[in-house]
Amino acid sequence: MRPRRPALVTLAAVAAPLLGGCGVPGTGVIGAGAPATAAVYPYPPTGMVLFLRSADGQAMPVVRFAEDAPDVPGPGDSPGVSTQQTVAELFAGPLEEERAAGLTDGLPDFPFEGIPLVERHPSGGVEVRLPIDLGDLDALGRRQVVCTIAFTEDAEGRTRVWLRGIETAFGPVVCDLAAGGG
Amino acid sequence: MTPAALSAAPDPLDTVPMPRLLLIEDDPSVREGVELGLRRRGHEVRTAATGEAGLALLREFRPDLLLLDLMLPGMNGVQVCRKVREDSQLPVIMLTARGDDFDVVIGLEAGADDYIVKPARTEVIEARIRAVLRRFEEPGGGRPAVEFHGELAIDRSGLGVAKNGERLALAPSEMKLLLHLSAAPEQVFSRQQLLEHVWEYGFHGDTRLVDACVRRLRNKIEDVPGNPRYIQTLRGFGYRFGPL
Amino acid sequence: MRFGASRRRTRATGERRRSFGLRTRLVLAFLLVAAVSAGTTAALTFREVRNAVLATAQDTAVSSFRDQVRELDFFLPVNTTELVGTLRTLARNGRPHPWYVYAEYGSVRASSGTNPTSTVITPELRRTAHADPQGSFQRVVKDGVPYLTIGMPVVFELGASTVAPTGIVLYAVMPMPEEQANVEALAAAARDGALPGLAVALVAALVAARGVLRPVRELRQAARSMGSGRLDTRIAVRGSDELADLARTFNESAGELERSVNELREAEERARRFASDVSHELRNPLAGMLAVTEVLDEGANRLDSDTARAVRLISTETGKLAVLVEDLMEISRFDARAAELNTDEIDVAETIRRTLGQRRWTDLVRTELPDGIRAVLDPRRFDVVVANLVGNALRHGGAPVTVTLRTTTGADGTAWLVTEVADRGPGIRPDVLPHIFHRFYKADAARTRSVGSGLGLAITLENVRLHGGTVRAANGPGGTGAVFTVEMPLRTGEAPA
Repeated sequence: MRPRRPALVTLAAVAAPLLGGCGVPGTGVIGAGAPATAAVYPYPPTGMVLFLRSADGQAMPVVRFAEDAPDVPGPGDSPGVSTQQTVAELFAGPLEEERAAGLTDGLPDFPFEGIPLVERHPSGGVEVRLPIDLGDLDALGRRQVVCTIAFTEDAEGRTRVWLRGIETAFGPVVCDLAAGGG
Repeated sequence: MTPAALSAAPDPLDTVPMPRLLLIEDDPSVREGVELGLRRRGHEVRTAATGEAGLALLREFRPDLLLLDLMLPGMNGVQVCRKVREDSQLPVIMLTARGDDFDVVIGLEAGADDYIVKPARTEVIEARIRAVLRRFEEPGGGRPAVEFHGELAIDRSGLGVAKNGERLALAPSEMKLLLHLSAAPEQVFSRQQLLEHVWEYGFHGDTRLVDACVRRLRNKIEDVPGNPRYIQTLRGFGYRFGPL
Repeated sequence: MRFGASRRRTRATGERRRSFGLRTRLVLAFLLVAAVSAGTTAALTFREVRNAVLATAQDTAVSSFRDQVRELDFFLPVNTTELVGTLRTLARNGRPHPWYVYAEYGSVRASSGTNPTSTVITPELRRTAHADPQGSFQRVVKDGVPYLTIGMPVVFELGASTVAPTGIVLYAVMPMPEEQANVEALAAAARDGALPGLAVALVAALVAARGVLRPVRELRQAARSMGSGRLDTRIAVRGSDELADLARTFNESAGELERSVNELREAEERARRFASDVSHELRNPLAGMLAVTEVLDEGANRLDSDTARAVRLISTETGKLAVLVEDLMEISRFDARAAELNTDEIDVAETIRRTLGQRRWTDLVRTELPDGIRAVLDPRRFDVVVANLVGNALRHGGAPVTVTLRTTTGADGTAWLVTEVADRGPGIRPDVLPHIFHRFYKADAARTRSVGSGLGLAITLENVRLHGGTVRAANGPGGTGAVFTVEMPLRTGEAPA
């Protein structure tokens, strides 16, 4: 019996992958190419694109029809939607339908009667004055603001953005949607 | 080499002339020593160094007994013995050495009556000579001179044996063995007893002497030696004469 | 060689067991190699084929899922009711198999089934789907059922060349029963293919083991043959492999051994012949000398005292020399195995009494000889045995010397004759006992000139052995002298072999 023991062990070792792995094994997560591109309504160039956030810290775009936009104080220089309006709507917070989907703005509220002011920046791009302390914005919040402004200014969202708060300012910044959940 | 116990009875040889002996022996020292010892005891001894010379001397000297060395150059002792037995019942004693067993058997088959192992003291040699030469003594008197057993006629006084009227030539040991056995028909004798009474060995002798002598005797007296009538064997005990 | 019989037997059985082991090991090794190669090949093939089968199914599923999602449109934010409808539509179009579809958007969880969330989708997949804007999948085995889970983030076009994540992640969960069945069938096929392969390998292994073991068996037989004394045993050398080398080495060694043993035998034979020849050559001069000792003894009386002493010395020593030569020749005959037994049935007590009486020892020796014990033995040799032992006891032991006779029955039912010669002397020293039957062994240097050739006990031993018996020397209880015990079969030559 003695010489057979190691032989049996070896046989078992050889047979184990053969017999034990004869089903369909589980795997880790495997990349499978590009995401799916789907159409959204309303068609973004005709609507108002705001970047809210989800509970797990992702920037979540919502598209509002322009006429759905709530009344916000400020000059309404249409056609289209003005940057002043989108920024004001962003800071005004999500609508009920958006809240139902678990979205929030995650931004400080403007002081009463406070409005964003939009100017052309001398070196190109746009400068937006916000009646808040910019230090109250977290990184995701800045990104929401910057991207909302950028995609209002141009369809590709490439406009350079300067932000000026009560005491601080920064810029220029370009919208970076790929920054993900960070 | 203890001396044989000699019979206490008066020795007939004491009164007759000392036997004449012929010694055939090739080794000079043995020849001379044995001759010297025996002559000193009063025997008339002649010697020969070869078998051929010995046979020649035999006819001229006519000895009473032949002492024959087995190992001889040229014609060896066994051949000499056969030659002698062809026409004579001369007593023959072989000289041999322990270790020459095979030769002893051949020599006995050739008709020798006894043998002496060399080296031997003269007294031993003489004891054997006397034993061979001693005449058979009747156990009791008053028996008929000639007995008849079947086709055998045994003349105890004349020392002759005839079968179907034809005289047989028996060597002395054969004659004595036949006389001893036939003196008490149907009585079993062990080899040791026969050695004692016929060959006069007081101690354990060589039983082959008896067996060889019985064979020779059967060849002469039996019709079918392989199925003997006169000298019968009793396995484990010995021999007996008859029953016929 | 003569004593190896019993050892050889045990060795033979041991070897038979080992040979079985070697064969088993060889066959197992063959099978193992065959199993490993067959198993490895089968396993590798199986894995490749399985992976290909699964990859096909997965790729189909992933691209099909992606294509179908492309056809969809969403409101942002997502309307939960509409989403469920969309998911149900998706679920109907599962390819290659039906799937369940789940969606996550913000805090919204929706599915095509009753449960809004799936227990199959792993946190890893969700994390990946949320962190990376690209599709991914994972195979999950749950309760023995394999599932393909696909995570597909949905992006939308913001501008002409800009896409942004919608925050929607769609999941498809597809059970893979068909793939599982296919893979299991594949495994069974691999296994069923490997087993006949192993059976074929077993036959090949047995044949090969036989081929390897045949020279080993021949070698064993040859070695055994050598061991039983046939030194001319050789092995046929076939081929030029290691076993052939072994056979050659064996043959060379056997040749060497045979040569050495032959040389030894020849040397021994020469030595024996020399002793025998010397004794023979001494015989004739001694015969001459011994025949004339009487003449010397008689003549000595007439010589002057010195010459007379010298002459008597020569006479006496000639006698001793004759005894010595006679014993030497007797021993030579035993050595040359020329000694013969001339058995006769005798009365043992009577024979011993004759032996003692013949040497005039009757008055010196006490006897306990029960009558009626008859034995078949060589009377002359038995006489020599008794005479040597009694003579030895009388010379070296102390009076009274006792000779006892009895019979016993051996373990196998054979009757044995036991003769004991005891004396009341100082006994035999323990260091002397083992050598007492050796030739010319003198226990006491002072005794070297005593009567006896120094061969008496050696001749006794040989004579007893010739009868198939034993003789041993010992000291009696309480240091009461030496006891020599001779045991011989009661019927020598008739005893069962």
